[in-house]
Amino acid sequence: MRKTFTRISLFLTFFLCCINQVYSQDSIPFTDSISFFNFLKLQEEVPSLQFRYQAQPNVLTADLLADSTLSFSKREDGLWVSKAFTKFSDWEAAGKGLMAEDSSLVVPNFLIYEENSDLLAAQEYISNLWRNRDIFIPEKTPEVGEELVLLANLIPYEPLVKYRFHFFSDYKLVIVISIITFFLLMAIGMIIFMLIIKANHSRVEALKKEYENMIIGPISEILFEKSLEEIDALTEEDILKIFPEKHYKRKLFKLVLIENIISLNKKMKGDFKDKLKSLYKKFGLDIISISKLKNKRWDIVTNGLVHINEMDLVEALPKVKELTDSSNFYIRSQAISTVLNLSEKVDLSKIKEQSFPLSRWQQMNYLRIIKYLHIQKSLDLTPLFEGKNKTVRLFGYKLVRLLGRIELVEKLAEVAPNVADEEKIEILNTYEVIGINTEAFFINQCLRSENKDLMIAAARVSGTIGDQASAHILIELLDENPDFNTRRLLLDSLKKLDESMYNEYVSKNRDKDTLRIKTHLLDPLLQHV
Amino acid sequence: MKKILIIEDDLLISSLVQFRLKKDGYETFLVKDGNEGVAAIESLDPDLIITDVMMPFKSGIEIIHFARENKPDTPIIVLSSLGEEEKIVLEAFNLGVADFIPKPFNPNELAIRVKRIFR
Amino acid sequence: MYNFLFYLLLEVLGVGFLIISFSVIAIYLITMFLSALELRDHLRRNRFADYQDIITSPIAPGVSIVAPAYNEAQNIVQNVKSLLSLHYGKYEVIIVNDGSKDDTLDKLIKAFDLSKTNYAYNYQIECKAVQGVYKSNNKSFSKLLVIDKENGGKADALNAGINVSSMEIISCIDVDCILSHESLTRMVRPFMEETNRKVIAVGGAIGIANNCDVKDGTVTTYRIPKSFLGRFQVIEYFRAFLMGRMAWTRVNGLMLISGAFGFFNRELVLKVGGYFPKTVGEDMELVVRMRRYMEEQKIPYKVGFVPDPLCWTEVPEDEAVLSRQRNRWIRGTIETLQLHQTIRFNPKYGLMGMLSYPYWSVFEKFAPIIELTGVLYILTLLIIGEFSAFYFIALYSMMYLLAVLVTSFSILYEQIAFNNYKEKKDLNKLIATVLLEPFIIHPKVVFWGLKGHIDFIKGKGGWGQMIRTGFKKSEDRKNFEPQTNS
Repeated sequence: MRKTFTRISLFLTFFLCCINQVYSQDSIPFTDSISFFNFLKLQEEVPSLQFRYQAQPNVLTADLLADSTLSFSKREDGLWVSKAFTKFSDWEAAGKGLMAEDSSLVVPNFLIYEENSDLLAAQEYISNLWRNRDIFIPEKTPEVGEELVLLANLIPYEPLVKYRFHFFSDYKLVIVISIITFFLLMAIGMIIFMLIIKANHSRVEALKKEYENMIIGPISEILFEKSLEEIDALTEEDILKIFPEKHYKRKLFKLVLIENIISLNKKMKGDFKDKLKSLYKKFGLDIISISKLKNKRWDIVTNGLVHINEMDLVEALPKVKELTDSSNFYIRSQAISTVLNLSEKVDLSKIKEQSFPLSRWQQMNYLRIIKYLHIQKSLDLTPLFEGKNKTVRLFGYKLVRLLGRIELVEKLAEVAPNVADEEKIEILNTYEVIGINTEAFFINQCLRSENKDLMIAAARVSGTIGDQASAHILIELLDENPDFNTRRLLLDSLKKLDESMYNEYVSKNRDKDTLRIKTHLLDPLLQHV
Repeated sequence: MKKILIIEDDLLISSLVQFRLKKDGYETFLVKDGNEGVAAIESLDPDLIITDVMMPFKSGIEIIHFARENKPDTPIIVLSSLGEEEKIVLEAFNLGVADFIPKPFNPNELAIRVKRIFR
Repeated sequence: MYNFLFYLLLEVLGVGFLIISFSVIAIYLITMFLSALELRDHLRRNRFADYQDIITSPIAPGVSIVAPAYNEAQNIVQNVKSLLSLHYGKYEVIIVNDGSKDDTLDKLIKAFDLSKTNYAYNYQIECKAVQGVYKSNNKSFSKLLVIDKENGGKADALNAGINVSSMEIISCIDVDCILSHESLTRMVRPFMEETNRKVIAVGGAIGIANNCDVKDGTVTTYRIPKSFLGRFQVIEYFRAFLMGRMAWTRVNGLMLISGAFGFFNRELVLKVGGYFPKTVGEDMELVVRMRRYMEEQKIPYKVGFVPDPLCWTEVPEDEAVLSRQRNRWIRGTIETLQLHQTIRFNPKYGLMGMLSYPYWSVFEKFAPIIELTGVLYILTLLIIGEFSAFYFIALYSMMYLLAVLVTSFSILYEQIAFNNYKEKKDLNKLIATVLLEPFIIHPKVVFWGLKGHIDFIKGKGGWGQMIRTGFKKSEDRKNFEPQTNS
């Protein structure tokens, strides 16, 4: 990581160097007259520019007037001017000491394109030349051994790539570098974040374990040693005697308490359940669970519902009822389960009215509750047969067999002939499990169905609950030369239904498939496949 | 003192059962998976085995098999969340377990059944 | 003229690479985002799910586990035992002995007291000849069914198993996978949850078992592999399962379910004719074919994915074996995409045709070729002096940082969601792997991919021999410490 960082810093430095290089071409290399003359000294000669001196009439001594190198002459405006020099060093040498005497009396003067010009005009002219890149600072040849980067810096800027499109022009570079920086920061942040999370995780996990060990002992003791009344009489003080206050007040501790009590409640039976529920309230955990219903996150709401359901917190029922129409699948199905469980009277109408199909997951949850409830409270399943949704009706038929409600068979027989094939299959399965052998007529009808799935379902159940007519239909179906799997099923049912007819059939039909199926059906190891 | 081996992966259940049986004056041993269970049956020679059906490494059925072969006289109580109609339960009874207790269960009821077996 | 064409080509390539680079960045960022959402929802759903219920509920679907075994004598008995002790009510285990040359079958027969039955085998899906169907005389192993057949490759063996499966869901696994006890309950859940879409298949995440403590077919302590190659695969699997597949699941565009751990709707598998044994990428091919079928029938459907760590497998830490595996993967991808060309950019196939397929073509199938071209391009530029080193390094480090970022994210997901590797040392080692991977392993992966392309062109097929390192730490340490309180 560090390597990458140095590399990035190198890019940035290099980038900044480039910027300098670019700007140095446009800035004027002098600011005042001193730097101007220094610049001129470096230049020595400037095209179309000549240097001379200009003096007030009364300052020139006779010596000066006689000096042949300067050779002053009088101009028509009365000022004296020297001869013009093209080389700066010559001019400077000739006027040595002259300017120093009194700079206001002797001043530099210039000829630009043979035209009389003052200092300002000359500066202006040279700036122009500079901007147009007509003059440069003359180069010193770099000494051998100096670094290449310095050498590169001295070379005037020029585009590196001739044939490129402008994809990589400078603003792209800025983007690239900012993306790199972004990634770099993200990656570093991520790793730090990860380490923190890791430490946190292990801390919480260790703490949870510790709390769990702290909880199991006292809870078992209370459950076995104390009666329900004694638990109800527990005061805050008693509780703090069991659990140290500094832990008991913590959120995580309560969470572990909730988890443990609920999981115990699921596995225990009888008075233990009541004791656990009473404890739940004693510890004030019911308030935590109910307050979860107001949370914005669906998973927390559902979690609260699960707790309310498990611990029978009836006081939350009105709030739970509001949630049965939630648009969230999880809240909705859990709320319905909870209402089913907590209501005084079991009411399946909520399920009946569902316009959404029931998923198996929901069915499983409802079944768990209904299975438990139907022992205590009388439960009317028939509304489900009239459910709006096919899945609701299927669930209803399934419930009849799962709960063993033989008295509902009559009702089923009433609806069976008029429902869709899929529902007929479910009803057939129910008949078979309950062991109803009065519905052979319906089975035979289904056996003759065009729908293969229905026919197969009917064939399967006919083995146990069919009649003599079914056996004849099975043989008819066998004669239609069905595929191998169907043939096996038909023969299996026929064998169960009427051994003699089966024997007669297999002795008459000695084709390879039938023989193979015959040995298959006789194998004791394959009886329960 | 009677030695009871409890083979159960759910720590909550096992510690509760252990607590209850200790009260009745039994010596209890707790193991949390099938492998440890098999090892414990050999080394401890318990007077009663209480086992779950679904556990890590070895199923309760395997444990029952093992116990039947090695300690044919040790009674076994099966604790399971599988419904009684399941094949596995029939199988357990065929193998000669003393009792079957479906979860959810009442530890007091378990204690009574244990007492009955030892009587 | 040629000069001009040469530079034009360079230009076009340059623009192409720029577009690809930026789309790679965009795709990774989107993937990170989508997978984070999906993972969050998954974890929330798990908070209140009672998986215990599924084990016993009569509403839960039955599962047929189909596991082909080829020369697995070393571990087969142990593996089958652990398969038989999964926590689930209604399931069967079908082991298909795919004409092993060692004593795999004998070991099974001995250990489980098997007898050959008179099973009337029906070749509903075509497969090589079945020589026998075995069942145990012992009632405790009544869930087990063993098929002995002629060797025909993995897909063929799976088909043979599917033919005898009787449950609603089939689970195709590698027999040497270590399955968590709750794997069935968790994997079955997506099948139970949907209401108005049919769930056709559910994939699972796969963890790396090398160097982990394995006791009787269950991982007890998680440790990262010792070799760099093994560690690389740990982070690679994180990336693939926790990011890639999660993101695809979010948009219901998942096209690949790992052959080592996948669950399918049996009826539909039979309808589409089972696995296609001619391809080396049978796992991907089946999913694509099932999806195609659903699209063609216009039935709403879903392919689910469960990121929970439920299945663990030994990965090759030997470079030669790994290279063969990667070679096979890329050939599988090419073959599958070739087989299903019609869905490419075909709006009839919805998201799969418009997004999943093109993505797979560009970023999975052609990725090695694109990377090679990229390297050649840059070399050319450097040689003719048309490219500044600065841009080269800048772009390279951008891509490098992106890779580091994405991989760190996937490790972060693992840390937050599952936190299997408890040791802090392990995390540090993984981070080091993340930083080094792009330099050390990635070029090799590209190279193996290219070889896969070459082999595909040459028409090389077959099921490469996969040499597993074997469970080094599988010995039972029966250090029995009963808790006595009396």
